[in-house]
Amino acid sequence: MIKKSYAIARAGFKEAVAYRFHFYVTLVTSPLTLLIYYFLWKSIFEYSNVDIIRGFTFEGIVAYYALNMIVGFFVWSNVDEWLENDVRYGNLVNNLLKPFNFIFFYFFNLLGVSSLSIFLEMVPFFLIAIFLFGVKVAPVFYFLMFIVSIVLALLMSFLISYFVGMSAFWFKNISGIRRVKRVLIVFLSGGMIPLTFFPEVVQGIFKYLPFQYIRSVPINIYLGSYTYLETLMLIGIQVFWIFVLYLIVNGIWNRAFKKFAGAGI
Amino acid sequence: MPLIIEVKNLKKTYKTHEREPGLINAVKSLVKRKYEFKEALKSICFEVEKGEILGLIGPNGAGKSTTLKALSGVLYPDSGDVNIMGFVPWKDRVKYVKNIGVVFGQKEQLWWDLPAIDTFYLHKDLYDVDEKDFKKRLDHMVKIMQVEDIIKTPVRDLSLGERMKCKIIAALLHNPKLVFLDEPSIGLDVIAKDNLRDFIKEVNTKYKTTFIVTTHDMQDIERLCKRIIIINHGEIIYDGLLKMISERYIKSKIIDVKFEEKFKNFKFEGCKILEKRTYELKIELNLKKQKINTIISYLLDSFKVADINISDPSIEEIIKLIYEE
Repeated sequence: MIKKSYAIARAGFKEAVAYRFHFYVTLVTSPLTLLIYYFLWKSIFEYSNVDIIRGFTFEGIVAYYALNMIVGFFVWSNVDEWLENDVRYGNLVNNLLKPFNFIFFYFFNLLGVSSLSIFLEMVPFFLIAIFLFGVKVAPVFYFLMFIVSIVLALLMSFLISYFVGMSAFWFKNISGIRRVKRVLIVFLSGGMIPLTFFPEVVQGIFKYLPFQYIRSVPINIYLGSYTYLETLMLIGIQVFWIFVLYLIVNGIWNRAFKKFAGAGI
Repeated sequence: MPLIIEVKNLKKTYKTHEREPGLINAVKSLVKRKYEFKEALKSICFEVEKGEILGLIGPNGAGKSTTLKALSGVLYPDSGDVNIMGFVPWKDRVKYVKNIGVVFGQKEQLWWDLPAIDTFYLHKDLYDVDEKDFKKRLDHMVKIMQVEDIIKTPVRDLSLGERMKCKIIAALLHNPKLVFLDEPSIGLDVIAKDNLRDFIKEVNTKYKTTFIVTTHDMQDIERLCKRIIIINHGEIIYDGLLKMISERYIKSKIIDVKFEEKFKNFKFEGCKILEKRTYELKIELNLKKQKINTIISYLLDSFKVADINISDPSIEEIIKLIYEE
């Protein structure tokens, strides 16, 4: 099982290497994006004459956005697009012919792609964040928990993507649905602005949704916003969500498979 | 020989929507869609013995590929019982597909951006193939298919025929007990086709591997299969020995002749002229009345012949004959 998963991930990794140019581009554009946030928040802090806004110092908010990008590189999943293409053009058949759990086949493939982003995006950008934007290296415990947390976040992001992607079995073209999903997830997970900027009531609702566990929670673990115990509990909640999302996805998959007709072969 | 495949009353109906051409009709289809139900398989029944090479033939859209998809576990049929080596393909998919190899001639089955060799190694791990067996089989197949030079090139840069050869290797590397080949000779040149047929024969005798082959190439069928199933409009219209079909229905040959100069006075007993042009002639020879070699020597003796091509009537014509009875 481990050998097979590794083999699938390796193929995904190699495939990502074939398209490595994409990673170089983000490596150039991401620091620029962070620079925009930097100056935006600098002026907000200067004109409002306070040291702390919604629990964030200026250094804190810059670190938040820097980490937001690092987490974003890793948990980014376009499995919905893969599924859409595979359903529309019938390539799903190939993956169905592989002796491997169908849902996890896609996951390990994605894991391979995301692993390359560790070397080509995350680490270089992490160094940029530390040396150019003054982001601090987290204490060992929080750093390790951060790593555990983003791996779980990748699984969550994958399952949500997969859930959305399966709609292709019914609608065939789901580019609109995919776009809505992308915006919603970035917004609800704290990828646009930190969730503390939302009204208390809305924050209360977010606690019962899976989205903040994809970005906001791992970022705040790194920033040391939680106690040790809280951190472990949040990771537990991530595991719980993975379990729930998998049950939903698996249930729908069994129905989607019956619907699949293997387009044009 | 024991049975490897048992198919009973296999049924599948596709639902698609149809739309008249044009912008107005496109807008109309937003509101109201006309659905069309296409019965791809109407209660198919057949059996296959272990070690057989079975030819599955029929015109386009007859249901050949649908049958193969259902048998290989990637399609959920509406009803019917299928038992292959103790598995119900679409229910025990993960365990079942480990035992089969599948080539869909019209599908891209290799990792598009990677060299074929990477797909081979992925299959080695996915199918738990022993390292030593893998190496031995790979070397052997690479040599037969003559792909030494191309397996390290990204698949997207290969030609149709080259990809086909690699796909066939990928499907057979784990030495499956049962192999489905859906139009495996598309894009192959004459030599490659020949090698492929020899290779299928070799695997078949050496490992008692069962093959089910669909094709439009009658030569594939003649070289490989003893038994064939002819399928049309989702129904089996013939299931039996190939020999019977050729004896009963292939009563004529189609001969295309090209001449080097204008020809005159073509006269030969027992043949029908199908097409006549200044430099070309297409005739149907009745095999009951004449032999092939007599007409060939007549043609060569009496005219300056540039080219001769002899072929069997197409599958479509044979099916027409079967219906006519």
